[in-house]
Parts: sequence; C-alpha cells; structure tokens
Amino acid sequence: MTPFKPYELLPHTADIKMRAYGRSLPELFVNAVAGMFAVCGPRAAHPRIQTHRMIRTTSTTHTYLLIDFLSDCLCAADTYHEAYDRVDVQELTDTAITAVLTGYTIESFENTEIKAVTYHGATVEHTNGLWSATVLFDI
Amino acid sequence: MAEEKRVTRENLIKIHDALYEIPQSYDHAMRVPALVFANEAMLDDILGDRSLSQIVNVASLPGIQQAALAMPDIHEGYGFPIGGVAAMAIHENGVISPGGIGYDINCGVRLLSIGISAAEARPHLERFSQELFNAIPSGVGKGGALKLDNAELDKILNHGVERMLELGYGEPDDREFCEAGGALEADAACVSDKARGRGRDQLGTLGSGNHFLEIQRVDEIFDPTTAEAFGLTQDMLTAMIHCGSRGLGHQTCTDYVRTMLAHLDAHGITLPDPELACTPFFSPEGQEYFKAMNAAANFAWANRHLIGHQVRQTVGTVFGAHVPVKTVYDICHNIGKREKHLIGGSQKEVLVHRKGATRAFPAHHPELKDTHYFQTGHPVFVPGTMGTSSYVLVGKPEGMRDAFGSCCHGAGRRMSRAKARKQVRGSTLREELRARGIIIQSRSDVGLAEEAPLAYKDVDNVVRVIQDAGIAAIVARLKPLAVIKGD
Repeated sequence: MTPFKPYELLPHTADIKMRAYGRSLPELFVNAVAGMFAVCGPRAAHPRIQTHRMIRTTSTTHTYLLIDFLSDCLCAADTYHEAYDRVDVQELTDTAITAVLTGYTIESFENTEIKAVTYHGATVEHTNGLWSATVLFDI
Repeated sequence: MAEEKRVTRENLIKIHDALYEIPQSYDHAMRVPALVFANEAMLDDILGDRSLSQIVNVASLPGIQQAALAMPDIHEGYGFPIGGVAAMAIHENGVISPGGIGYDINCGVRLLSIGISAAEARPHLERFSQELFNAIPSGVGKGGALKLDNAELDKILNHGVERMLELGYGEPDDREFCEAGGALEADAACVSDKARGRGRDQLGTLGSGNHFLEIQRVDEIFDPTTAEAFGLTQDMLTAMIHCGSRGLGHQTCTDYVRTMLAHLDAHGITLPDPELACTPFFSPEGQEYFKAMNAAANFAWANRHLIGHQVRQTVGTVFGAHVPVKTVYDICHNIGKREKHLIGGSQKEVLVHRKGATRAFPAHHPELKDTHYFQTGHPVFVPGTMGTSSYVLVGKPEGMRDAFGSCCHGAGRRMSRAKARKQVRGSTLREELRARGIIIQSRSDVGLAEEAPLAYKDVDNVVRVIQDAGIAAIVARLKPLAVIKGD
C-alpha cells in the first residue's frame, strides 16, 4: 500500500474540514482523533499530568459512529481540560466503539477551540483497501 | 437534491438592487422561495461557496413560511448557512431545528457605552486593553475563574441575567437593555450532564475563533435622534463583547441534533443534510430542545453579562469609578424565538430561526412595550473586523414585512482560514494595525491571521444592502481602538 497521511485539512469558508485515513476502521478512528486535536493545538499544562478516559459511543452507522465518537472525545477534553494523543480501541462494531483515550492536562488550545463535530457532509468510505473519512468541525 | 447542485447567477431573479429571489421552481423540494439580500458587488463572493444551495435546503423544511432568507453576510455553514433566517409555523406542524440555530446558542453581542471620550482615553488605551486581556480569559482549554455547582448552574440556566444580578454582578439597569430581558423561559433539567460538564467553569470567558472584546470610538453618527436614545455620542468610547454559550451551548446542540436524527423516521421527515435535523415544534423532543436551547441562551447572556461586569471593573481601575459604563443593548444572533408575524394577511405564531442573523424590531413593536426602546426600536449591532468599522442600526417597519424583523449579524467570511493564513502574517497584521492606532491583545498570531480583515466581506457594503433593502437604518459607525482576543 502506498504511504498515506493520517489526516489532512481541506478548504472551507468558515470552519475546518478534515479528511482522515486508515488501513483499518480502528486506525481511521484513531487518526481522526489525532487530526481533531492537531486542529486545536493543545498546549500542555505544567506539570504535565497523564490522564486516561474510557469512551463508549453507540450510533446507527459507521459515519454517525465516527462523528458521535469524536463528539464524545471533544466533550471529555472540554470537560476535563485535556487533550489526547493515544487511542486504544478495545471494541469496534458497525454501531459501537469502546476506546481508552490517553492524554494530558492542558493549559489551553493554541490554535482554536472546536465547538462541535458536525454531520454535514460526513463520510466514511473504504476504497482500494484504504478507509477514509470526511469531517467538518464547527469552530 | 439541492446540496449536489450549485445555485448560479442564472438562477437568481433580481427583485431590486438589494434583493434577489431563488424561485420555488428552482427545486421541487422547496416549499417557499428563497430571498437573498445582496447587491451586485457581493454576488460573486456569495456564489463562491455553497451558502445559496444551503438556503435552498432550508426552504424545503416542514412548516417554513413565506421565504427562506439569506442576509448579505451569508456564507457557507453546515445544514443552514450562516446568515440565514427561517420562520416555521409551529401550529401547522412546523419544525424546530438545532442546526438552524447553531452550536453556539445565543452567540451574540453586548455593546457598552463608556462615559469618556476616545480622545481622553487614548493615552491610557495600552494599559486599559492589557488589563482587559488579563481580566477576561478566553477559557479555551482551561475554563474561567468561576466554577458552578449544579444548584447554581440551574439558577443561571433558568434565570440568566437576573441571577447574575442577584449574585452581585452588573447593575440593575443592565437587564432591561438585553433582548428578552436577558432570560427566556427555560428548563435547566433539559440540559444534559455532558453540557453542564463543559460549561461549568466557562462563565465569563470569551472563547476563540471570531469572538472578541473590542474597544471602539463612535466615529460617525448618521441618525442623531436615535443615537441619543441609544446613549451614543460622537467620539464616545464603547466596548463591544462578542461571544456565546461556550461549551454548554455547543454540547446542548450536539445532544439534540443526535436526538432529532434518531426521531426523523418517526416524524416522516427526510432531509438532504443531517445537520438540518429537526422535529415538529410541539413534539416531546422539540419541546425539550426548545427549553434546553433557552437555558443555554440564558447561560450566554450570563456569560456576556459577567464579561461586561469585568469591563466595568476595569474601567473603574483605569479611568476611575466615576466613569459610567452602561449597557446599550445585548442581542443574540444564534437563536430560535416564538414570535407573531403577519403572513399571508393574518397573524401567525412562528418559530423564527436566526442563525447568524440578528433580531431587528422597529419602533412600537409589541415585544418592546415597557422597554426603553419602544419609541425607537432596539439597537442592532453589526460587528465588522478588527481593522474596519462596526455599525449600530435600528430596525424599520419594512423589515417586519420582508425579513421577519431580522437583520445581518456581521461582515460575513469570504475566505477560508487556511487561505487567510497563507495571505497574511499575524505579526505583520499586528504591526500594521498598531500603525493605524489599533492595539491588538492576543497571544496567537495564527488566530490573528485567520481573522484578518481581508477574510471578510466589506462590512460597509453589507450594511448598505440592509439599508437599501429597508430592513434597518444605520444609526452610528464605530471604529476599533483595541481588540482583545482570547489568550
């Protein structure tokens, strides 16, 4: 398989559109979380304290599951003032995911705050062995 | 349907120099036409993104009345465009759509008049703006100084500004100078634990993106009588606060979009875009969302109120406690309101979705009765950019007829953030603005570049369209002196 970027940002007038990739569905979810926090640009707190959060999300389709999972990760980050740089997917079906997020406490988001992960134009596709997803963040 | 095809210039029928129509015949799903308040000079920008296709989608929603409206600051959003207005007949199975209100529920603007001239203030502006920057956090990633327990949060969610006054923040007059008195009828119990968790320590914080606190001077007065009623005089110092309901509102919208998507089939609703998720207003989930949205709106008013309080304190520190700081008005531009409008010759109760659009009720509107602005109409604020003007307007009676008493909410983006970053260096912009007498207090050069004036439409032209269309009239122009962006 040719090398691929884990995620990339696409043009949008006001918000931020991201395309994430993965060789497997779990890897796609992991890379989408990485892309989301890269958009925010977390600045670690001092001292940097490692944290863990378990997220369990259920939904109706692959696509909605990804959006709802990212929303739940965002909610945890906003609530606990954390960012996550590791995602261990424990279970992933068509309609449910359980994952452990590992991250750290933050001082702020240097780039921007994401208000929400939207369903607008969201896709999850599997083409030529590569999974890809398109997500629009409201910022 | 419409999301896949682009509205082009050929699809627009010119009604007059400031109004175009996309006829109902454009798409079989449209229940009403779409009206686009715009002039020739801005059409290319508007047609350059998908915003008009999105307003066509809005025109297809159940219960929509008269026309879906696009304000001159319209730009592409998700589901609804930003700068869209839609009125749904709630007693005729019309819907409520969280995406038609936006994730930042009751994002809005509070304008404060400061009883000192810009000329007198200028020598102290550096210190004033620095102290404001220190006093008012962005709250991004770390929250603010207040951390509310559930009981206190409930009171704020249910009572908005009134509760903040009880807690000792602000002055009693502030409440009268807020849209809806700074509180809508809400039920805090409809706000989820997740939303509470996100908002618990975010009261009194600005957020990031296009949110700001700006110190301005009244640069020109166009309507002296109305300006006097608004308490604005030539060269006066003002403070404009632009922010919303923070994570609490964002999560409330997220929660209910998810809920409504799950109930679409039950209500027989099919949509071209899931972000248009909606439900009949009087359905159980519609009522729950309405009460939750109102609670988040109250949180937003409390948020701007607390920031206003901090501005007042800082004015006291820098200029002296004798300098009066008055709330000119506090108005939302992401909201759904139950209102009565004359439609097809009779009064109908509708839910007016304003997403990136501001209410603009004129003089003698019944909802303004017993308020300070009954004789004039309430102030409408149209912020520009950190390097251009902002405007104070007042609604006109024609706006009730043509725009459900609504107006634009800003200049409107015309360029992506990535493109703005490529064209502008934040540090250079900071220096250029300083050379023009505008102080920037912001740690992020990236954020500055993304919000550069060239990323927005010409605000002078945007308000010209509003005035030419007869929706509202220009009262005063404000020029920036210092801009505080979240740290």
